[in-house]
Amino acid sequence: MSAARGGAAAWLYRRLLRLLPADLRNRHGADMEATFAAAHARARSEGAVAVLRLWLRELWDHARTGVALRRRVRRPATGRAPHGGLMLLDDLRLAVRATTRRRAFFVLAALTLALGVGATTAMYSALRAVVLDPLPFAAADRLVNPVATLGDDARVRLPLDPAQLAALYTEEQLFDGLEAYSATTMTLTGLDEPERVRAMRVTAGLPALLGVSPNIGRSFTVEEEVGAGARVALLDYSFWRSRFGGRVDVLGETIHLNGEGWTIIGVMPREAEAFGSGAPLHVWTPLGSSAPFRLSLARLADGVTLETAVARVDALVSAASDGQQRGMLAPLREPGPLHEHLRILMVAVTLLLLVSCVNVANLLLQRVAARGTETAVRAALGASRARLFRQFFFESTILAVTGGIVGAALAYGGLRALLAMRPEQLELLRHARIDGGVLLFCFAVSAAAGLLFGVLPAVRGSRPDATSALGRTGRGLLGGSARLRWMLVSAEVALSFALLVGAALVVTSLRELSARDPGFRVDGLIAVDVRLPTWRHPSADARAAVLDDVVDAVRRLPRIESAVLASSVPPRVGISRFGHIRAEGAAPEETPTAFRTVEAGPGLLETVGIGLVAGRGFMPEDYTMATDAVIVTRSTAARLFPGEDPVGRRFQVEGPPDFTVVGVVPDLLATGLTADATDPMLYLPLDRARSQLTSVAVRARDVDAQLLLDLRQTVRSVESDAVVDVATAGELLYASIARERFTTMLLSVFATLALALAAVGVYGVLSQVVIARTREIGVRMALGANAVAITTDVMRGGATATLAGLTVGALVAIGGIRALRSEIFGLSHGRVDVFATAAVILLVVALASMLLPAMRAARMDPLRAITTD
Amino acid sequence: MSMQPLTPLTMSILLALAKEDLHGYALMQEVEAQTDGALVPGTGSLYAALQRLEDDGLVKQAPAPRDAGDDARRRYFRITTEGRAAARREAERMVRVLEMARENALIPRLPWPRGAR
Repeated sequence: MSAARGGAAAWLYRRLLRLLPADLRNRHGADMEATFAAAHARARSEGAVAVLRLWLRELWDHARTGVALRRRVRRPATGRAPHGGLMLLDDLRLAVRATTRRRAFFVLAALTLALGVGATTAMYSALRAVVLDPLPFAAADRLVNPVATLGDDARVRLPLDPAQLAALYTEEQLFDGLEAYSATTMTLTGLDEPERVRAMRVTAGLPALLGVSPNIGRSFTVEEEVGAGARVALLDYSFWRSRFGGRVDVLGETIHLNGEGWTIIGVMPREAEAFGSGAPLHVWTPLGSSAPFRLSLARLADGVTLETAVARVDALVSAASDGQQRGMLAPLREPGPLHEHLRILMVAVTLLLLVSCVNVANLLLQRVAARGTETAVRAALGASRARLFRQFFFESTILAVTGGIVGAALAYGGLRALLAMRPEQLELLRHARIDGGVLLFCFAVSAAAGLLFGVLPAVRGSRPDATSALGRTGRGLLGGSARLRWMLVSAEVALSFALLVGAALVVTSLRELSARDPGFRVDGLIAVDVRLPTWRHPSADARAAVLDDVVDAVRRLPRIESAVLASSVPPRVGISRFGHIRAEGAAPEETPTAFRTVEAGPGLLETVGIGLVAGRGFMPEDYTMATDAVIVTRSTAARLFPGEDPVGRRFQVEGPPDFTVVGVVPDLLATGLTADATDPMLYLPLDRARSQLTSVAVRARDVDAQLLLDLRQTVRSVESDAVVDVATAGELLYASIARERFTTMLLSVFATLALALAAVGVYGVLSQVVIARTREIGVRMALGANAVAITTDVMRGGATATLAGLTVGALVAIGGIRALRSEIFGLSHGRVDVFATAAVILLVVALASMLLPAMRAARMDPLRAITTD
Repeated sequence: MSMQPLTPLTMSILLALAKEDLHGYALMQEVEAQTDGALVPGTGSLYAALQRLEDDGLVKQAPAPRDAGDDARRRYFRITTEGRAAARREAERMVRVLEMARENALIPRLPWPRGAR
């Protein structure tokens, strides 16, 4: 046994010996084996660690010695070129030495590249998490949401009603499973302060349909669906980690939702978080069979195509609703505004990446030019073109690899910063992370970049003009690559300009968004959102009474001018009425309309700061006698009674009551700065017995953080289990464009970086030109040329390249805007003023970066200039 | 023949062989002992150094002593006259280096007290 092991060691050692040159092996091989055998025997007697150490030492020693001996062999005094693999190794070593010797250059180039690669990688990780990665469910591409639509308008989607669902259940071969769910919010008490949590109510079979099962504990059973559903809950993974410390013994504990005790029966896996709208979930509960609102989730059966399934569902739903509605299958993840933002940003970082590649290519060309003599000497001594090419190419490769590594680090840091800054509306981004796939992308990008910017200088550098470079004077330094380098500068300018125009467009549209007239007085308006514990105050009337107490208490606070009970406060007005309009003197409309509605107590218009355009505000009798008086926005009035005076006219929304228009107010940005102000909207006097009152509109003087805190305390003092959310209208408006601000900020950063890179490019080439022309400039100055003439002449090349870049960049920008056609930022049309601004910015930056080299040329001492080589 | 300073490994080998003829494994152990384990050559670098010493005529192969005989593959190495001269030159160079270091106050002028390290 021990002999066999010795035999194996000897065999292995003989393999190791091959690392050494043949003549050493031939002369001493047998002796070395004997020596090793002795060393091995002793190491074995000392234990496994000693054996391991011996092997490691031998491995390292042979590799090192092998390389060292061969290197000595390779460089005999006769100067014969090495061949084969050794030559490659030699070229690589030369490249490494070249890069380490010009450290400043190398650092600059690698950082430039890393910038582009890092930004692209970070954006890619976000894009992947939100758009590209399939949802983490079993056969996610076959999961669909069957929904009903009204007429042909696929935007208004309704959950299937029981009759329609029943029809779907008859088609057994269509789906592999058909389950229901409904997301809702509940009040969680007993942990910290009362808070609203998001609950996903699901049928027992839904987790299995998704292909997820609880991390710990069990899933729901069919029995738990009966009636309103059993009081059992599964915790969301992140919620469990953050609020329950990831304890395994949470099973069996009770949490309080809406005032009732729910038993924790398990914890959902992390993948389950991807289900739903993307907003974070907290708990999963059974969807009771009596729950009225049910969304459907189905998996297409094997062999059923989406087209056939859609056609079948359409026919079934249509038949089950007497042709009133149509059926369709919506994908689980649909392109939303976030997708569009990411798409724009991805285009932007790609431009930035290209700029950084061009910049690095330019830097490398500069190196090639500066090393003209070295290259020419090597060529003259017999280095083949292939070898020169290889050396330059290796240098680019080293650069690309370094850029990739630093870029990955930048991407990691960048993504962390991105996630830290992400607004609430970009919650989906939380799934973004740098994983193997993203790293692969990162290195693919830097490899592609290396190829892109490495080939050109390699081709250039491997074609040295020996006679001119060796006997060079003046211009030889820049040589024929000057025009190529100016072309690269033009390309840089063009790409930066396109990016700059994009950023400028977005900044402009953001400014326009911010400047929109919200239709109410923002200053001093505070929205207090109050969710009362329904279990303690079951009737609307009882809740209104509590809220009355809240309003009274609020009014007693200092600095409060007025406070009014309301169903909602701008800019947070939801849709609460939906139906077919029948305006007086007109036929009922074919398709239903959604209305945003504010139901409020007396004095709402004054408190929110809405002026009347026509008619009157609400009178006391409107509240006491239920007059069905309504105030509408201007666009709503125009929609209901086009071209007529709406005051005093009557209309219905899906049957009675008969509303009477008593007043008209300006259009309102009901949901924030991106809202459509022409959305139909109604103001109604509150109905204490029916209205869903959840807010208090407050107008105050000198609003500060303390006042907001006091408001919160006041509400809690009236009802300690209320969930309170206090925000100024200004904050809400600001938050409503968080996504746009986020994108704008990122785009501006990218554009600034691209601009800086372009400036570096212009500066670098022009400096080189000045150095190359030192002698010529000296002669001209000695002959009496003045500084202005010299400066103008030197700058001419840069100016031409910049203008050419601007022209191409403008075309790229126009094409890009067409291709993107983003609705978010109104990017569908280019704007002359934006283009002009961007052009001016770029010209100023380009001129500034030309100034220094040009001045250096003009201040040259003619005598010294002429004698310079 | 080179007048360059010898590498630590070649110097150690010459020093070890100055005492007696040794085979590879014994040389390895001797070098390790000389340097208090600071220098533990692998077989590759040891034989590369031996080969170079051989080529430079500082070391030659020697017949195995009678009492060896355990492994026929083993070879013994012996220092040549040139080898001794080279080792002596190296030692003298080291002494000069040592003196220079003392003069430049890199190390104490006097030898360290006995017993201290």
